[in-house]
Amino acid sequence: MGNDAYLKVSGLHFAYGQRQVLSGIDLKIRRGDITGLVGPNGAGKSTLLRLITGTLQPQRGATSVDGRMIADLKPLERARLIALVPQNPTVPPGFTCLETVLLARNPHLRFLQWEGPRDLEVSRQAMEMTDTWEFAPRLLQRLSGGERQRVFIARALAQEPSILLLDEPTAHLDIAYQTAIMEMMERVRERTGVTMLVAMHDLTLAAHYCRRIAVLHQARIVAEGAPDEVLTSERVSAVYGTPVSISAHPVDGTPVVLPVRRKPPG
Amino acid sequence: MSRGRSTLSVFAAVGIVLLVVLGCTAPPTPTRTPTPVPTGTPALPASPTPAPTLKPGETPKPTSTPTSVPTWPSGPRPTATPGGPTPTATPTPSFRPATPTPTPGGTRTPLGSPTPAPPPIVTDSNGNTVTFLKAPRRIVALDSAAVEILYAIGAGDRLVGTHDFASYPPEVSDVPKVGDSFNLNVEKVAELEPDLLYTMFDMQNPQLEALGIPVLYLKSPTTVEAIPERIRMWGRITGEVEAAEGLAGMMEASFAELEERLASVERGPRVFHDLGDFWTTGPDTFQGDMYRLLKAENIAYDVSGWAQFSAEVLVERDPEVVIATFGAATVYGDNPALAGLSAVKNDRVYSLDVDLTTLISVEGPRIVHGLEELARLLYPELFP
Amino acid sequence: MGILTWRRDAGAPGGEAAVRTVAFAYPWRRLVVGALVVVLVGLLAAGVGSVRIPPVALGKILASRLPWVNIDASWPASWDTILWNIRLPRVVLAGLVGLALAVSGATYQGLFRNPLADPYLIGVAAGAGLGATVVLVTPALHFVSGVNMLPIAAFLGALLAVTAAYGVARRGGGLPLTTLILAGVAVAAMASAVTSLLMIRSNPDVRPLLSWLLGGFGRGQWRDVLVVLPYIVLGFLLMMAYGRTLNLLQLEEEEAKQLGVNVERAKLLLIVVASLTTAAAVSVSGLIGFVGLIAPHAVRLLWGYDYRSLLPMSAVIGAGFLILADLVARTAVGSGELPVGIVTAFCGAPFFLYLLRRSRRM
Repeated sequence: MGNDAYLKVSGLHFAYGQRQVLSGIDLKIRRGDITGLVGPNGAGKSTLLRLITGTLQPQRGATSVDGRMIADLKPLERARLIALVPQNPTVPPGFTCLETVLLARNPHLRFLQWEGPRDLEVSRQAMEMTDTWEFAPRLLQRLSGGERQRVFIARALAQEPSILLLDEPTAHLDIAYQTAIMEMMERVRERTGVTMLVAMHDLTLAAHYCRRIAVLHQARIVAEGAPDEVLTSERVSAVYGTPVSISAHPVDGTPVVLPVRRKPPG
Repeated sequence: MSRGRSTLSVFAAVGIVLLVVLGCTAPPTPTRTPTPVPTGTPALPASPTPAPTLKPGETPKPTSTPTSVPTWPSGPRPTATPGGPTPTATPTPSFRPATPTPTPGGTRTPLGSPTPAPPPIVTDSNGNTVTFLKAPRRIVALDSAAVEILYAIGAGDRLVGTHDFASYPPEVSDVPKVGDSFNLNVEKVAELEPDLLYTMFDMQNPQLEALGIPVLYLKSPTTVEAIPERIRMWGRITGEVEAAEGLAGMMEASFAELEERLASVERGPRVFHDLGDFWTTGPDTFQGDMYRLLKAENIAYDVSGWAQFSAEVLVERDPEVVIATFGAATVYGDNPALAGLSAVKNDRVYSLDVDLTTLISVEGPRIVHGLEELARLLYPELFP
Repeated sequence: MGILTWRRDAGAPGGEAAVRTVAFAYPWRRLVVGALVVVLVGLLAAGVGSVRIPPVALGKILASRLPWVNIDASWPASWDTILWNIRLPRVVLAGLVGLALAVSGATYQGLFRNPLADPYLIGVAAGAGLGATVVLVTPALHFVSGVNMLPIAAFLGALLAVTAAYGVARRGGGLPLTTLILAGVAVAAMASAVTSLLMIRSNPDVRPLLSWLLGGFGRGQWRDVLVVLPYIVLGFLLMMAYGRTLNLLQLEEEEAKQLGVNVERAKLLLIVVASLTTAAAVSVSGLIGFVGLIAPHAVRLLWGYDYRSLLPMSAVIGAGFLILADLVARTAVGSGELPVGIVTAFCGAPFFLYLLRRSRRM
């Protein structure tokens, strides 16, 4: 195990029509790590995640998990390996939370097979890990945004993936929910050892919870490493185009990114 | 908020402008008052056959004066009356004996001098009276029956336009086609400059009124005996009174002959008239009336107008003869449910070809042949 | 109320009955009960019609067909014909067509993620109408070498229309669904226009054509049942097999892909199967509306959204509904017949309005 790359992205190139979104992306993620993927809006974080799951095809480059190229895998095999919690997941009408989570068991079921006790057990554990088991019989559409988000994470977990990708899971959530989600992810990592790559917009939150940070800027990974190495004020100001000041978190010393007013008051 | 209000006011303004524009350009409401007969010398119908001149003392022959009251044929009348605001119970045109208009000065036409024929008055199916001051010379007829009648009474040369599906007599192929009652090529009609347009549907076409073309709307007759009356009407309108009378008389004679030959028949066979897909006609339709005349028992006796007949009732009432219009007969050999019908077992399912279908569908002079053909099918022993 | 059943744990701490165990139940019971109800409704419908046959005689006629039973025929032969060759084929046909339309409708609603979808969405109806019109206005084409061309022409017309819409909408390797719907609308409009043109320009009486277009089982025979049975049964089974896939397709296509679904293959297969099934149904019944739209919604109200239960129960409700609608169509007007499509519209439209109001409140 050690420092071997478990999820390896090499030389990924992707363009939407004429627009080059990603160019020469190299990323190595260790097994069991939580890595935060940060960058300005529209930098291509979502695109990168979708390329890793295999739903988008890159023009050049490849992704591999534990040495296996994901492009060589069949969709069902990929689904057993990699799970993604999208930014705005669809809320299918009329589905209860448990039914939503059970959908994720599809990669483990044969064509005409019905869900069995094991599937129910996996789903239950996933929901308990995310504190959503009490919502099981309730309709998904009736929950609040934060509660729904947890159900979607439970769904991704029910896939029993080795790699869990999350696309801005804390967007639009208040601080309580944000911390709840991040705490939950830590818990999940401890209990299941799943490798996580989380696209985030909140640099401080990312620095506080993620072991490693990768910065995506202008189609490239411009930095990757421990949060205090990567998130320097020069780098953050350059990448985001706005002046910032970096402090140390009083509890664990991880970088706290603070905005800087252009003109001080008075 | 203010944006919403201004949108509303824009819509209101546009709406008002549209209403004003439409109101100004609306065509004048059609006047349906009867064309007044001018006082003074009544206009003589310009017809090739002059009104019979009377020598003093001679009584006018009843058959050739337009003032004779028509004799209604005897026989049971169908009970169903078609709707319509006509003052008469049947849609056939009614004749009122035309009273001579008093000339100014109060002088009466002296006895013995020739009575100029008064203009024919026809009541259309909307209850309006139409007076023909002059016999029309350029007729557009949107109905095959009218076309055939016109040709038969020698007024075919007056036909300047007809509908797309007119096919008889052969000369009609040279007559310009102008569409049909509901898809009328008004431009073409205008180009033909007709002085009468005849239709059997209530078209309500304001464009024709705007063009000043008189429209005669008469529903097609629902009884066989109404056809000779219709022929006489056309005779009066066009002035071909003698020819019309001759033709009508011939037809009535044929009907009488038919009745005679059928005198021995008490009850004719049970018959089902299939228009396709079990659509059939009730006794209050023209075809239904034909069967009445032929003393055949139409098994769709409780149908009013046209309806799709239930296959169950068809099997239950077991027709002895099936008359199927073109294309409708194949199902009788095909559907096992119908194999038990008397008509099928005795091989009396008759499929009418296109020509024969027309013969029994067009309410014109050829209906006589149609009736003969039907009689031949219904009573093969009596009409070999 | 989906397929999952919840058992409450009586001895849960805290005094509350917590949901502790969950079990899966395949909806056998509702399916079997539903099927039985449909059979009963069918028998009832076979007992009623324009010609009054007393129930005792009915029982005797039915029993006499059993091979080991020997009853002296004390009823008129016409009753036997009416029951066996007119009513029963009609009832069975109505059940089959109702089944086909309802299941195809549910599939389309799931595929397009649109509750307003019905089986005629991408041009099946208009194409079938055009095919039928061509045959009905050309008497020479009615029978070719003894084979009734009407259902064949309707079937081919439907398939051609769907193929045209599919061909227009296909792009790259994928099939964008919105484009497919729009293409279907365009194809349907074109076909309808040509149909109307043929109707107006045709000299023969348009009434048989109109009554076909409005839908009816007046000319239903056992032969028609045999011809459409394989299509409808096969189609039904195939669509049922894709029940879980349809559940997954309720998510966006990318999410479904991430969960392992081969979305493009599923789309193509479901469209083909649903269209074939609908085309087969339409070819013998004409264009009957509302069944494919309303039946799935009724099922959702009663039994939930899981397609594995929605599809078979839609079949049950569709079959039962259409059998009853046909019953009304053939008995409402004395010795005449109403087109079934009118009856389904009369029932369907108010129900649809009710659904709309209910969904607003939800």
